[in-house]
Amino acid sequence: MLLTYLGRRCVVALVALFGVVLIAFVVAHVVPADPLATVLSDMATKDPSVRAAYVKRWGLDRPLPEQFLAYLGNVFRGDLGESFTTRRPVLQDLWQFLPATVELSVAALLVAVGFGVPLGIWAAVRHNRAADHATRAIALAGAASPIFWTGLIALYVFYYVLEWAPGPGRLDTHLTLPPRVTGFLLVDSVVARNSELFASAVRHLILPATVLGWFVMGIVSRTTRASLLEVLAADYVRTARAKGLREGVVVGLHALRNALIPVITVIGLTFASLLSGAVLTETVFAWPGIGRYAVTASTRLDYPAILGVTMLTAVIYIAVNLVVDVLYGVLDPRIRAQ
Amino acid sequence: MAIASDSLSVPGPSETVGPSARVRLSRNGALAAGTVIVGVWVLVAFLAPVVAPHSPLDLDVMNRLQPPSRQHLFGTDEAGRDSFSRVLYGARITIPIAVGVIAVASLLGAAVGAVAGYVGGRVDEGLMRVVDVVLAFPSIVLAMAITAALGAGLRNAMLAILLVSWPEFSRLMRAQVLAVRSNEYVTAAQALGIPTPRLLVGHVLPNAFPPVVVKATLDIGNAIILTAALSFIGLGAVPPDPEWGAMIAAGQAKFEYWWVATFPGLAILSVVLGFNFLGDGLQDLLNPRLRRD
Repeated sequence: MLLTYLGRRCVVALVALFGVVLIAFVVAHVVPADPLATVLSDMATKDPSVRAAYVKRWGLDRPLPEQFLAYLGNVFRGDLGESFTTRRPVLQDLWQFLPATVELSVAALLVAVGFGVPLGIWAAVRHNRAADHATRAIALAGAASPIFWTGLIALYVFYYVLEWAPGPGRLDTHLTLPPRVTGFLLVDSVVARNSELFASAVRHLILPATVLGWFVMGIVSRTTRASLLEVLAADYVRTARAKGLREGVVVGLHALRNALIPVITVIGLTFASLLSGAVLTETVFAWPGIGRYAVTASTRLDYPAILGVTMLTAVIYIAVNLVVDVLYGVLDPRIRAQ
Repeated sequence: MAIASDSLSVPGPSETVGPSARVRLSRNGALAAGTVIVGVWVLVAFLAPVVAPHSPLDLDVMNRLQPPSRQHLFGTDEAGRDSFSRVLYGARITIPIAVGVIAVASLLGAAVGAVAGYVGGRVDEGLMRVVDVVLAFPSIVLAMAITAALGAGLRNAMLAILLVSWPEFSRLMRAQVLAVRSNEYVTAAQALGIPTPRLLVGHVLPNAFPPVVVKATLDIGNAIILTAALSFIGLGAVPPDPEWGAMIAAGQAKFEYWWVATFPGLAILSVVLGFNFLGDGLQDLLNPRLRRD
């Protein structure tokens, strides 16, 4: 039963992946200029021999459906073209910049869940009282503020005025990066046994992660609240109360376990918002991840780079949701049966 | 956590049956607050040329980067332009764009969803897979790629926002149509031999549409933020235009001139809050059964 469920989810994910490449292909081909401009820089397109080689590699001398197959083949082999700005294969660039984004997003997710879930519980338990209204206000403000602006304001207050936080970037400027093992600074600095680096990396991570986490925290706290309210009205909770259990036990042991199942789905769904937010947060905080890479690429019309990031983020989203679906199926047997 | 203090009260009928008067009041409060905020901003958009103390584009090099004062309420930017007037004029760019884009996106998305939900089968399967794929992209990333491909500028940014906004409406409308379709009055109409197009337009859609209106209102806020974000990156409005995102970008990394970025951001925050309140309030007004509390 569980296996058929897993199989079905994997097929859906594969279909989505195929669609993602198709959309990237369509975007690449609505570029009014030369389709070669999506894989080659200006200089290179003028050289006839380079042109001919690329036309062959991307199948541009063949009909559109075949072109798509060639594109699909190249993408699945990991050939995403070369970035005009860095002059390196896009895949290599993505590999270099992705860890910074993942580090930021995971830290932000920890902030969002670490504060969002308790806030949601608090709001549900104090339903329709001050705490409930306060968490609603936080959620509303988080959803309504443009994250690139929140980031700037946070930098202004905590870095410029109060001097509590370090400035933009991943490390203090006088420090050099540790040798790359994983690309995650927190891990690599531990591997290099360099506590100064680790401390600097942590301090630089706090502000952007909080800004990005706050952006998603509202959704997490609202879902936790709604789901917990629903569960608290269930018969078995009433039974638990009637047995004379303390409210803390009723909420913490009986209600919360079931209430958190939808929260897991929502965390998966918010991953797209998290990645969207990361793009802009990275720009504001000079964070060398794929978001800033994509922004630089898009303003310089570096098509291979921007399409590479576009596909990569979609693939991450699909993968995360596949994991969430699976987790959901494991946690809630009813889902598998459907 | 102080959970135990208000323990042991089993919710009685007064708490579980129907929404309390207080909830209703607070929801109506949302509608009122939303109407007022959005109303004020729409007025500002219309009246900006009359109300604004300065032209949004007039340069005054002698008064560059002046802090807020009586003469320049929000200070001046790096070219000496009056930020207050520019924030007011910004409403004329952003609000029509967001409303227009979402109006088209919701109609387009709803049409696709209605067809998928009503026709069903392979058509439904195919359309929904397309929707899934578009939704797999983080909206800002896909919008960036599309705008970059088409060329920077507000017009292409609008098209990009349209292309990333429609799929959620399809998903919503499809679910709505599926729910409404199974009602007995639809079966009755079918039994009477009413042709499918008339059945769809006359019987199914009017009952399926209200949530779409609510979502559209909420999405106007998202479209405003997305427009500003694309301009902030440099893919939307062109610099001298008084667009809020572009104005925030101009204040980036100029911490000593905090006012340049702060006020356009507050404008975005307030107008988006307004549309979110309005959407929340409308939800209550259009569908009383949907009260979640």
